Amino acid sequence: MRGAAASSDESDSESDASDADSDDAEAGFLRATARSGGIRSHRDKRFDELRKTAHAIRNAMKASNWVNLAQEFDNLQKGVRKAHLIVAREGFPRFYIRQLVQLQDYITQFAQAQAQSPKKMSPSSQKAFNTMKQKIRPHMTQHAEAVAAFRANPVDEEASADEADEAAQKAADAEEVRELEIKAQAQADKNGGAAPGFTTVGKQGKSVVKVNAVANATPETIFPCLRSLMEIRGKRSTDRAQQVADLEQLLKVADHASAHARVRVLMILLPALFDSIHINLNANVTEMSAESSAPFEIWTKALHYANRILAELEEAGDRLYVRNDMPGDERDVDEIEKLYRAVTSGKKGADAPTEPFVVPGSLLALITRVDSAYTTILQAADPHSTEYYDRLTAETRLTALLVRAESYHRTHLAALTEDLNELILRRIEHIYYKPDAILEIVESRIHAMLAEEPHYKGNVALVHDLCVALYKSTDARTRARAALCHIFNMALHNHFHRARDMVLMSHLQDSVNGMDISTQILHNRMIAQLGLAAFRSGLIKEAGMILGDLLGSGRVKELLAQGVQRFSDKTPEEEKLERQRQVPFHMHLNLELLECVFLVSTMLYEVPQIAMSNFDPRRRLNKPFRRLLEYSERRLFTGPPEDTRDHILLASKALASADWQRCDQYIRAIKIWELMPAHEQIKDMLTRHIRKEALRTYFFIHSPFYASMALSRLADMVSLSVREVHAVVARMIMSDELPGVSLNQAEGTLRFQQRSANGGVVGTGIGLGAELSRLQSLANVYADKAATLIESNERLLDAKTQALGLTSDHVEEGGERTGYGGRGGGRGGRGGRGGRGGRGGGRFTRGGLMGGSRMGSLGGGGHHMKSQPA
Amino acid sequence: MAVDKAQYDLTLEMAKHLDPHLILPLLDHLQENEMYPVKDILKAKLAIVEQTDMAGHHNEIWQELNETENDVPGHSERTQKALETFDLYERENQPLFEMIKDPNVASQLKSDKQFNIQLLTEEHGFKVEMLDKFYEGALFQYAIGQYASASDMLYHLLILSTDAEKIASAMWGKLASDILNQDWPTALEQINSLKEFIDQREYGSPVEQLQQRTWLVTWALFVFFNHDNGREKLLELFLQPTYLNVIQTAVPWMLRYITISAVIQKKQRGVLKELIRLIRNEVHVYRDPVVDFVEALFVDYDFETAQTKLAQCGDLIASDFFVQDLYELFLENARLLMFENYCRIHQVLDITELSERLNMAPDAGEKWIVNLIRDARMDAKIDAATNTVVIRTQCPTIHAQIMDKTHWGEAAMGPCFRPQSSAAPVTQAR
Repeated sequence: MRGAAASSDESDSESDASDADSDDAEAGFLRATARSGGIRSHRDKRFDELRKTAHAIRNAMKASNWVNLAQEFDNLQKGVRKAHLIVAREGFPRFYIRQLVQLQDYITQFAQAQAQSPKKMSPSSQKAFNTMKQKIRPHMTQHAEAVAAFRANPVDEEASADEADEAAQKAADAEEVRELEIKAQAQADKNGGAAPGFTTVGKQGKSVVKVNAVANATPETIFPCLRSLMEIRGKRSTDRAQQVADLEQLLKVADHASAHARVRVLMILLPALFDSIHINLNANVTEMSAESSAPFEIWTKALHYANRILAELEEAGDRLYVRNDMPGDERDVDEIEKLYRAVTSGKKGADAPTEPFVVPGSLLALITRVDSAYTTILQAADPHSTEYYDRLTAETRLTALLVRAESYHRTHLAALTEDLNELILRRIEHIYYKPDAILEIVESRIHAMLAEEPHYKGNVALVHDLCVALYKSTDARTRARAALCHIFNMALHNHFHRARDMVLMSHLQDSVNGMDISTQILHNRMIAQLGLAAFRSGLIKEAGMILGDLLGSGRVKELLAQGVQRFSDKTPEEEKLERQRQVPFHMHLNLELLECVFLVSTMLYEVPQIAMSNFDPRRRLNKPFRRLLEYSERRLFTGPPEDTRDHILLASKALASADWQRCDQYIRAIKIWELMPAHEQIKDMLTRHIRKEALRTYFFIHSPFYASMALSRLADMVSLSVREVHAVVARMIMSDELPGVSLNQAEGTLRFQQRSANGGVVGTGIGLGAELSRLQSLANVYADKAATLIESNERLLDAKTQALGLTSDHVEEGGERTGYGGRGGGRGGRGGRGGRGGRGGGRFTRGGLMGGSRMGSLGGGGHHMKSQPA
Repeated sequence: MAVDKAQYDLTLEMAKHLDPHLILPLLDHLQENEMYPVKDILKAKLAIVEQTDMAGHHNEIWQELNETENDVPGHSERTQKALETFDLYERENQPLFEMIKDPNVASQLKSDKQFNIQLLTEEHGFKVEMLDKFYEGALFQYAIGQYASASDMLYHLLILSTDAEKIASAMWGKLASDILNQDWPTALEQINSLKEFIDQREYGSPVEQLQQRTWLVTWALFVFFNHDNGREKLLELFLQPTYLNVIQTAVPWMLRYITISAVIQKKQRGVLKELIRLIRNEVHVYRDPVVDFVEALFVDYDFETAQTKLAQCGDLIASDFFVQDLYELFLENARLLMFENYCRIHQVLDITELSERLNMAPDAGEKWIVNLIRDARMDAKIDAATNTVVIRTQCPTIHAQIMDKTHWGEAAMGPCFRPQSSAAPVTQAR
């Protein structure tokens, strides 16, 4: 609400000002580009009240009714006080000053008249008159300056812009012409008057504008027309389409004027076009497509005009700029126009300036607006309709515009590096996700459109060049987005390691939480693509880990901005924002594919783990996958697999029983692989992994029942070479997954340790579970837990009483398996350190022999000593 | 053969981070090993020497390259000019030298630089400009290859100077001089102080700091592979997180030297583990036989590949400037590593196959294993009938395990006692 009020304030104050002095009008040109639709604002309401009061005062003055006058004056003051916020922002309105001046004049007149020929007044009138005289004095002094200014340049109330303003508010469409007449009148009056800077509108201007401002505009009257069109912009009563038509008409007229005029008209025309695009993202798809074809046409027009601006500017070269960072030209637009024409026509007038002409405004703002509007238009279209494709084809033209703007910035506005960077970033965001084949076509078309030599060097090279240019930017967001796009692109091209290194080196994951949501979405997209890249490169475990956070959250759609979750507990506002953030459909990552990749990766990692954890429940488990498995196990009736998930669950079951062929069948039957490039290789890669994991699972399940296995048979079983089986077994032995197993090289067999005399199975740590009795395994677990408890207890104690200073290397010294001798040594060292005021514990490393109580006392002493300085 | 040899040559990569003077020994080494055409190396040397003021050396190389006895054009002028400059600096720096060398003055100096300067200025007519000249003199000494005196001068400069830029430059100069002077203990100290210096100094951009650290790790190779304790120190420095980062970003080929050192120093705890992690991450950026060997052995457990790679390592190490002397040491340790891994996996080993894996003749292999068993480094027996080694692994029973977990050797130190003893100091303190 506040935003809306402010913007329409601006538009009104600008219409106030435009009559008075020209450089405010300049500012108005600029501001017009930034503002949106108009609402009847708080300010207008207040001022209307004030105007009414002022009107009442005038009536009272006419009737010489002093009592009423005094009353109304009080009301006026009250009103002003109410509006103090607005007043503080933009000063006292002119009609208020005028009212004061008139009142003051009236009072003095009346007093003079009274002195010459006294009239009889009622006592109440007399009294009111006197109070009025008293009351107005402080106000006159307060506004002495404004009053003086007003007196120097009095504006008649009919002609005042405020009144015109008011009229415009009330005016219905039919009254618009009349209003324009009024304004033209005002213009003419002023020109006739002494106002400086308004000397250039010719006689024709007066006569032409009067009837129909736009239709009969001539090159000379473009600016007055433009001004009047700007003034009605954003008003409720304004017909936006009409306004656009008017501006286009003006642009045609401007063809006969200079590039300067055309650029000025275009700078107004483009925002006006955007005003008329209206898309309701909350509407459902069918409604949207019904009402949204118009916006696309308007957008196409906007694209055309944006290109036109660039063309004009390119042609004008270094004579004409659109930029914000230079002080606005003090001169009047018409004057500038004259000068500009003089300069361009080659006639060097005496006062023709050599420096370039600057139109205040931001090219970047216009072009980014075209770009963002395009996203909205895509969001509004039904992605499965031909319409969406039609719109999608426009992207090439849009990218061409960005490229064109980029090269214009490079050559003409090199100082605005951040603007240039923004343009490059926008371009990157149009290309980073595109597959090679498409990008190649797009780029060649762009080159053709811009009549450039084709110089497409490949997707990776292009994105790399563009991104590297942005890494020098001072803006953290630009840098981060460029890096994210770059990483995404690399992952898309299967450069997983390089992409991962970039993620790690850029530390983006640390800082991304503090960034805006759209960047976070980009980050999530990057992570998803990185996971896919890992999968495609055969790094199954990495893929599962990378995708785990994203897919495990259950909010993938929201995190990737690829669809709004139904039945969420969001407020309508939040939902609306979320809709605005949606990634256009053609950029979507296939969620089903993502899920499939994630589940297959977890399956390959998790199923052997589950088989192993039958012996060792401590292993960390992947919760979502586990839940899924349990859920499928609970189902009483399992039909043939239908969707991806069914396939993977059945495959998991097959893998869990080490049946790699069935597992492989199910996995290969998943249809969605076909969406991946080179899916046959990926299937082969998966088969290799499935064989190995099946082998691992087989060991875990069946090892208790074997004394030895022949490597060659194992190799046959899973269709791997003996060497590969050997490598798998070796790795498992080395990582302590198969305790008590070793290879017999001479026989080419795998030997499981002989059972020891008392029937227990030998092995370190875990032990092969099937042979452990319940009591034994429980005792084992209990012993471990007790040890952990003591360990953590001691760590806590150490943290609390740092004075006791059991350093970590002391703990290290007493390794896990060396028994308590070493551990006691650690404690001895601690006691010694404490007691002797930190004189190295080395001497006491064998102090485990010391009595407990003595150690305690030493430790206590140390504690005491150390706590004193602290 | 020549091309093949150069396959694993890193000189070009290193030269990016080295001072011209430091590149020369590397090129000499290349020349000896005949890795590249002699002419090319001589040209490279000439180009480098031209950047220095070593007129004599320059002349020699030129003569060698052009195969003449004649002097290089302008040689006499160069020599003359160098001599003159030498004399000039000698004269100009004479007063300061005398001042510093004076035992009376030296005894008065303290560790406070400001104080020293004040003292020298007040009592001995010292001027700050003298230091600048002194610095230039040191630079010149270095440029003409008088590394010992350059190092000496820089040492004094570092004591006196307060100019941060000059100190930085002087520290690098001193390190280079010490390296070229083959004064390894001093150089090692210098590396440590430079490391601290880089850590503490504030850099405009992280890139600059990265560059300095890259230099440090590259230069340090000279020291670490010549100092007796060098490998240990190398691992210590390079495996620090900061330097790991540097290596990963800027000089991935450093992996070779880390790997070699780690294999040699395999006893050092955790080093191998760290190395394996590093290799897993970096192997897509840089690989050579040494790295491949460790990867095959510890990541893929593929002994056949490990064996072939180990054979390749020989050539590589023998031709590498830094590690050429470590050939035997590396081979022995690599074999041991392989054997250890073998033993962990196997219960019965075939001696013939094992010897083959270790690149030994069967007899030599058997002898080697016997020696190992005799030195009590493994618990195994040779079964001559089947020509195998049988490894005895003693796995405790579940009872023994649980006893071990709960008993901790002495009854008094068991899980019941430990919490008590922990609590004792606390209760007493109250």
